[in-house]
Amino acid sequence: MKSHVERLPIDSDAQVPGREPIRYQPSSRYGKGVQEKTFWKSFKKCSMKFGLYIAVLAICLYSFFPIYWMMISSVRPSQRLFLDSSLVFWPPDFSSYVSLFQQTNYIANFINSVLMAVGTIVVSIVLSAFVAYGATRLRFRGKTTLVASMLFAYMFPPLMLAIPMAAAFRSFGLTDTLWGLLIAHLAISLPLAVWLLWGFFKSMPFDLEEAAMVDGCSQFEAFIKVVLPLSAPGLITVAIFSFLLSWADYVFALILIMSDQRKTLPVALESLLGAHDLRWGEVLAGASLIALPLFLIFIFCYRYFVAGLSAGAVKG
Amino acid sequence: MARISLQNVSKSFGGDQGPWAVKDFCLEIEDGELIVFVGPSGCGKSTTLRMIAGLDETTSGTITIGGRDVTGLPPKDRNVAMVFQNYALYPQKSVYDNMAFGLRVRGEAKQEIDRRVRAAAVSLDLEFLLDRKPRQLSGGQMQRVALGRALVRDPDIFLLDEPLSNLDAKLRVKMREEIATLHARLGATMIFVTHDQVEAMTLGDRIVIMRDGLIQQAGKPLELYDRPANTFVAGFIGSPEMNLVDGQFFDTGGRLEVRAGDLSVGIPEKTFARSGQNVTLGIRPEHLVISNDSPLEMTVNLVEQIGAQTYLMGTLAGHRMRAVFERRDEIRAGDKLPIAFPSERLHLFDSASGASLRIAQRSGKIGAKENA
Repeated sequence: MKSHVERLPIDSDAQVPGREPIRYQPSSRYGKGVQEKTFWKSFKKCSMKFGLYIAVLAICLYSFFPIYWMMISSVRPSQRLFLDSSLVFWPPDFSSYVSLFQQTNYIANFINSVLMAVGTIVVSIVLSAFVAYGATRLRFRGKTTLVASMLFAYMFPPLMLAIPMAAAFRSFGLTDTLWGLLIAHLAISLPLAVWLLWGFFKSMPFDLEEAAMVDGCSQFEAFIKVVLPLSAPGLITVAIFSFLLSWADYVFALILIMSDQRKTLPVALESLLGAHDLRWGEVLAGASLIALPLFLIFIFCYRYFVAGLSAGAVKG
Repeated sequence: MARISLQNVSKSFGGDQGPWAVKDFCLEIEDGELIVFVGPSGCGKSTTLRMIAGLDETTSGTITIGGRDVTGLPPKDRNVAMVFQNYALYPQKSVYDNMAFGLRVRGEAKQEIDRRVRAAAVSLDLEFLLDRKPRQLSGGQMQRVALGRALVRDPDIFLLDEPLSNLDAKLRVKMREEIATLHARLGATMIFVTHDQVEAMTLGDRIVIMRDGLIQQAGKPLELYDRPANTFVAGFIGSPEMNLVDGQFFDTGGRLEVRAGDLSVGIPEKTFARSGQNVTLGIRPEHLVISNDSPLEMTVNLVEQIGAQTYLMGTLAGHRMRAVFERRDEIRAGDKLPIAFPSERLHLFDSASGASLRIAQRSGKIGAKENA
């Protein structure tokens, strides 16, 4: 097959009077120098990609290894926990799990955690949807400052909020109650939920609910029938973040809950670490069970999780 | 179908002290009329429409629809239908559900909803798209669904807020025709908001031209074209826009003329202008004529051939001037053309206020400041 270079007419314009003849020059596209340049360019591109993959892999390993170690250690027999440091253990031994269920109030603590998480999700979604919708659609002075100040609570470590809360709850008779803990969890989850939904509603065109109002809805009906069904991704994001905040909370539960029956999972797990008896096998089994719902949520709701993070990052 | 009356309707987003988005808007819209609100961005045309729909509250004034005072009523109680610029179709609902939504909210019987939706779908050529979601439709189809959603409700009035501005030029012309046909068939009262003067001229039984929240002129399309009330209307209606030349009016022993630098144009009959008054002389590009008898010469700077017509840009006695002629292939940039100003086509405005100092012979009555 003839090459493109050979087919090029040389001096094709030479006959045109008054025009400088165009001399043939080797096509730079096929020149040797350029070929080398292209090779280095693609090599550089490949190595950059490779480097990126290595970096991502390293970060993933760094993040996931402790979790993996927790899970693999939870299925090692207690007596071999500190003797065997192999990365893969087979067959798994579930004695730590059995012991955990036998020695602790795991089911009651699990129910407490679920109650707190579900309560936080439901109340956060309902209240934040109304507050955020009002903040985006109603006109009042200092609206933006008000919404921004809702995140004020995040400037302080949870412990700083938990101690005055414990004092306040004592006067209301909410000490050592799940209601008190729910209020504490809401204090953290609600501002974030309002912030997330505020960004979400702001980006939603007003025309849709106005169309619904012209169609015969009141503003409330337009919100319920048109805005809310369209806000499902935002509401799911709020649900995920509320769940994470409540499920993984340790500080509020530690300060506000005293009785074993009302403890949530993270605090109940802590009680296994006695002064003289460190039952690492059970602790790791319990920690793995706490992490399990988080894994499941992350796998199924990954899209909304990322959307929520980016919504918080760019909107507002 | 209903008559609409707007009495001194005003809107301010900053309280009673203004600034005013709409100020003292007075208009009577007859039953079955298609009124077009037209004007540049921010002139208050959409705000007025939204006040009629009930989506924006009036700061003052009264709105009545079919003799019923609706000023304080929410949109749902006004029995109006609205088509939005970006269609505002419910994305999660099918075409059928979009059209049926308004009827369901109002508690209509299922069979009646089905009958009305299918009838509207047939009339708008949507019967094969009823199961689709809005995202699966083209712009023109979405606009038809939006129209269908308004149609099924059998409202007193139709409000259309720049419904064609998101469509491409070809589709816009087609949809314009469809809206005109729909109006002719239904005989419904419609208010159409646009910033496109061609849409306004072709669709409207009457046009209301607005600027800075005030009505500049309201009237039939050709009335506005023939007898603009001020320089704004003169410039807004007509494409290319009217040539406007600032000069001075003189009455020297019965000879009336406007002098603007080297240009001197005779005015045929009495006007409201006083001798020595600063005036603006107006003539539409399509009304200029090439006449070998004329002493005025236009140097052509630019020639635009658009097919049936030839657009010229040039300089006449030091003034920039546009001219439109039937197709003239031989004209080139740099040519000098003898141009005449037909006296019956001239317009005269007060330079300070821009108001028309109408040349008497062409109008039935003088002074058309609708809302000054």
